[in-house]
Amino acid sequence: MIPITKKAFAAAMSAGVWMALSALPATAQTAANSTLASPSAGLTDLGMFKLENKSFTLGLAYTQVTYKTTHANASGKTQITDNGAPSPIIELSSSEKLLKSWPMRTGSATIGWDITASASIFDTHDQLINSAFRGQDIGTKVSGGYIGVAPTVFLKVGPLYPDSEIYWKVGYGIGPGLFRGSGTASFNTPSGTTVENVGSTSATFALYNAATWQLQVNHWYFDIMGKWLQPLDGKRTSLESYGFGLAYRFDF
Amino acid sequence: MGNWQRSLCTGCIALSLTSLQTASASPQNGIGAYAGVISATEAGSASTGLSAGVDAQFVINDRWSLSPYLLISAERNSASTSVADGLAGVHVKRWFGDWFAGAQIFEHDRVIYGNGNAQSSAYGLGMGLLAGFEYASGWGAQVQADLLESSNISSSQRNAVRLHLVYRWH
Repeated sequence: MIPITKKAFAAAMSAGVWMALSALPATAQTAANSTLASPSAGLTDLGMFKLENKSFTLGLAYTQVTYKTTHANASGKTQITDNGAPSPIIELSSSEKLLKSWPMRTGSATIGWDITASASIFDTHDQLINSAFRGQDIGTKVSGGYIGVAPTVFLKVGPLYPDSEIYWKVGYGIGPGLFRGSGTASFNTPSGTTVENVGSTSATFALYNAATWQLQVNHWYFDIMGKWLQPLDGKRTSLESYGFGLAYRFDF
Repeated sequence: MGNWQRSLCTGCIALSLTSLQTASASPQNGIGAYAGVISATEAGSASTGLSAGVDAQFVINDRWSLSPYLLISAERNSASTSVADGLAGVHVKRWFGDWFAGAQIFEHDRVIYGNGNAQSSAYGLGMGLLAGFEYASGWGAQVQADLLESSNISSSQRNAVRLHLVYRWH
């Protein structure tokens, strides 16, 4: 798995949303369930567009998780990764709420929001030494888990075909999280390299960010995702997770 | 622009000209599959190879469409090492009947492999231009310039041209 920076990822998401919106016609539509006639594009059936109910999503992803932290006597951050590994997708989402919608030939492009909670575990054991993305197993290891809850703004476009439920959705959310991670990591100090205990076995409040790029086909999601947590531990600790996966949504 | 890139551009223009006599049709929603070739340059090193991908085209109206896409390439560079570049991005197309011109923005991840190991990685934002055509039958072609692929490695910037055959399931 290849890492990408969180700034670049967030910028790509926001730029993509901006670019998409720039191309949309100015005929903003606020009601999602009406049917319109567009002179240039024929019938535009906004009634096809579907906002999802509350849902529980389960799936499997392939992600690269990297844990970063500092130490009092060290120069710079230590970074320890898993070099890419399977990880679960566990999410609980509120119903999708409409903010604004624009008609398209089939369905619409909609800005909306929901609240999504996500939980996962990680097990990083490859120290980043000479490479920015591929670590080496030198005996260090940091493992743990996290929960994050994020109000998420999204752009959702579709359906792709009149009789389908195929949508493209990009979103970004930020909110509170709980983080727990502990283990050992290697640090560079003026006197050489040293291995120190890092993290804590107790949970710490964290700032949670999540970005998604999804192709939704009925209840199935293909998801490219980025998640970042910044535990409020005073050590500039962060956990970054990037990857892709397949998940199934259960409505309730 | 290198010979390969010039050839790709010329090929696409020639391919496009052959469609001039075809009756115009409006763009269609659908899943598209891409396959073709790529020529790229990065830090003075040229690479060529194969490119493939998928998109989902959402038509806004007769003139505009929006296509989120995923592309990947497998290349060989002048140092005889393998290069893989993955893109996740969005095409915005302005249609003129069967023809289109557009712009794109994407996130890319580029890895160079040698001796069976990943030797270096670069990733970041990029943008570019594209042009091509699609027939009502679903077949089409497209040339895509991936420009200014920014990178976590400040001295490294990558540019590429891809020529794709496209089939879209309407």
